[in-house]
Amino acid sequence: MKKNDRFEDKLKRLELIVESLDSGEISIEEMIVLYEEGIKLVKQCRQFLEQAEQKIIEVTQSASQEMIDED
Amino acid sequence: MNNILTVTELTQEIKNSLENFGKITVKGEISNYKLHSSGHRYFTLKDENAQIACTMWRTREINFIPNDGMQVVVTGILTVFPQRGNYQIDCFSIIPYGIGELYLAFEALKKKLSEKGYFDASRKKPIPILPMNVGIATSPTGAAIKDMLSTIKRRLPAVTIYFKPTIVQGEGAEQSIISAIKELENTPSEVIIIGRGGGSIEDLWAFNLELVADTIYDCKKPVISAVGHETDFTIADFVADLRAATPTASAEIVTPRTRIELLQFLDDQLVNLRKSSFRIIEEKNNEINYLWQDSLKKSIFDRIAQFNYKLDDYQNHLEKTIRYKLDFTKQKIANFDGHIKSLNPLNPLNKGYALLQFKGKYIKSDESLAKYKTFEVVRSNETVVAKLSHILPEKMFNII
Repeated sequence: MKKNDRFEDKLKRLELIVESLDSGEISIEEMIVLYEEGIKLVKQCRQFLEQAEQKIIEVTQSASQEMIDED
Repeated sequence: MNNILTVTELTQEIKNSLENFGKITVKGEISNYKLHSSGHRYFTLKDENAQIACTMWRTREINFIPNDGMQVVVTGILTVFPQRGNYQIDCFSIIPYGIGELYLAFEALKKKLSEKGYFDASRKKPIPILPMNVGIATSPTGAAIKDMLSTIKRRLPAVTIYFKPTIVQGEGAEQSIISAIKELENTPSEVIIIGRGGGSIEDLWAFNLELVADTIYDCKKPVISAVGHETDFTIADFVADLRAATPTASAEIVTPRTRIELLQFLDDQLVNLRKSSFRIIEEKNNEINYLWQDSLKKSIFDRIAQFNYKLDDYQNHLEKTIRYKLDFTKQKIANFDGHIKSLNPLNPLNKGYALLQFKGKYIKSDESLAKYKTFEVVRSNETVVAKLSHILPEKMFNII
């Protein structure tokens, strides 16, 4: 997942795609493009959810960030 | 017996004398606390040797949840219900015993900030629906952080947590909480939780300080206050954009959709994607079929039918022409036959003419018979051999 591409935005985009597909008022070419994008988003989001492990970034006074994993 | 009083008169006397006590402040232990559905509270205040009934009307505010066994200080007046023959304290306020001054400070600050609009619902920032970055300011050693981390991890491990270890009670707590909020504000956190586990009012006191309230108020990111237990209320709770009853509750609030729910949601979206796409394909397919059947197919079949008609026409025409030609030819042949028959050189014989030949060979008309001594005369019924007697000098055609 790209840095600026927030998970929430992806979900929103996915919902929008499903909505426009559901409206049915699109050409078959648009449909194929949207379908492909939707499948890609589902895949990316799933991967993100399945692979993501809890990340804890300790915020320190010096603003340098130290990462620790929590069990 | 002039001193006989009626019960009403006596009760009225008692009422007058009790109510002459004026405003009283009494310390004791709460027992038999009841919150009536009307909102009024009824309880008994007692110590080792005595007890007194207390009422606190709904309209009077309490800033904590009283419980049986709690030591409290109540302020009120004595009242008597003549009809029931009992008396009680009509409480104006009730505060836990031993922290009266803190409570007064709390009340004063609460009033001040309330007037400044710090608690207005209109200025509360909405909590993000699906924050993937959560800031937490709490003690690194308490149960609160463990509860929050484990709750978030269980519900949505994909959440990144920006954790600022914070002193939440005692010396330095105020400054620590203030700088924690300010530092977390500069992280990618989408929401900030400030919190700590339960404790006495003194333990929670840092969350009742004005500078802490100001920092929460000024924070550009939504702040969730999760201080103590469900029954603990702090100024931070009032200023924060949202109050969570406990640290664990705050962790649940920032993960409203769990990993499992999100995966289910994605599965549903996948099904929807497929369903909608297939439906669109089916619709287009139907359109094509419709076009094919109702236009293209029809027009092609029309044309094929037309060709067939044409072919049939051609065939008919051809057959007719051929038949005609055949008939014509047959007729011609029949005509020829008659003509040929009429051209039979033997035909004139029937009319009496004869044919001359020599040894079976026809003697042509331009050939003179002079060179033949004998020749055959062929007639229709007989053939005779004739002898040439002489040749006349000139042609004679008597019959013509």
